[in-house]
Amino acid sequence: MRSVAVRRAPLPHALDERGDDELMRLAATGERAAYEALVRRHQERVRAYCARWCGNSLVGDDVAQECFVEVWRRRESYVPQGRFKAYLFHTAANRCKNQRRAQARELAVTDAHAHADARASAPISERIRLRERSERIERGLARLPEPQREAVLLRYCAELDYAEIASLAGVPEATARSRVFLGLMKLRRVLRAEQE
Amino acid sequence: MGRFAEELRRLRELPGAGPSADEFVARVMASCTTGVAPAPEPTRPRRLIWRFGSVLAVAAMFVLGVVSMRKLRLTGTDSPAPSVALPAVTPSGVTARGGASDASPTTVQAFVGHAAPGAALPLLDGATLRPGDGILIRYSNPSARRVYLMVFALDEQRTVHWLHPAYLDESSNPTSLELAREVTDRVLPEVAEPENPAPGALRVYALLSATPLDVKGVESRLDAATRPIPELFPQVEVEEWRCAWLAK
Repeated sequence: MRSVAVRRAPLPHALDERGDDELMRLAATGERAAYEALVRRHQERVRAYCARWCGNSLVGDDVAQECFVEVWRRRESYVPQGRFKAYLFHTAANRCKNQRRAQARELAVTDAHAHADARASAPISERIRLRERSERIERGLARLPEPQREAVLLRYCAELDYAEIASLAGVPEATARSRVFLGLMKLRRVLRAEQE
Repeated sequence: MGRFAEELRRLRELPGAGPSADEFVARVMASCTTGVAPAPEPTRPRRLIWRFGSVLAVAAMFVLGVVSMRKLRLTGTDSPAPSVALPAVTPSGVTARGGASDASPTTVQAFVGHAAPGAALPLLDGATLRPGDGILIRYSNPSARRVYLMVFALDEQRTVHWLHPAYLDESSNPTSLELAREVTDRVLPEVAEPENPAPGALRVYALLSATPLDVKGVESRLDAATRPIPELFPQVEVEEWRCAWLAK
């Protein structure tokens, strides 16, 4: 060979810089490192979304995990159109709805224990503060009609735009905007009433 | 609205103290491999895409004598045991024309690789390459026939970057590499990184032929091209990877 020069570039860094669609294409070939980078990129929002939906962070984590595993299983059927985030949260939303339907009663019983377990390692003052913050908004969300709750969570938790929310919910964009608006108004009223 | 906005912002936070991000990711990835996930189906066979646009820049390349590439040595020889871990990818199934038709076609796969061991990913359509990304070629030629390979990239300016064979001296006219016969998953011993391609579309082409081609002959056909690349090489099978080059 005529010329030899070695340039080294750490792959993890390169993966972090790649787009969602590109990582999914790589994942479709069985490249686990690419999918791991995707999971790492989106895990916080998906976990928060699922926890809010389920009203319980531990159950939410389980659902989020199932969501990521489902996306992995279906990685070869994913069509790269620059909408991976919407695809991911669509999967998460379906998982959350199924979870709520299946365990509606059970959740009410175990919720308090789960919260206690989750925060057991935090200082007591921090645990109280976290619980108050979390429960306050969860109570508000729980009082929203399901379409509004979903729209609010997709907008403010998943940070999807209105077109993506509309596509995901199968409604016109104006309806998606309306659901978010009405949901916010109601949530605000509920939170304000609690303060008073 | 300040307090309410704060409440909304909290929607993005994890409501409880669950597992750390590292723990959660590890859990997910473990679940992805515990047998519940089906084995990856074969990637769809690559279609041979016959497409080529303007050749003005190729002509400019000849004028300027710009044919450059960088060769990065990966392993010592054309080795069946490369020092990089290449994931299993369903072969493209490109068959060298002029050879006997059989059930074991010669196949070519491309990977994005670095010199670091273990750092190679399949090159896929739509991939974005950056400085530091080299292209690694793996092939299988299970038959006993002679098959020859050339690999080059065309950047946004239609400049040709020769990956295989190396073309570093304009006074030379290197020919196709003859592939080893009756082998599978053989890796060419170098990762080749195009040197300073123009940012934008980067097409990588592999030409498989039953007789050797030479660099200048290929370039002269590209230079005169008003037709798609495969039509320029009727006795050659052409594989194309449509990528993008992003200059940092």
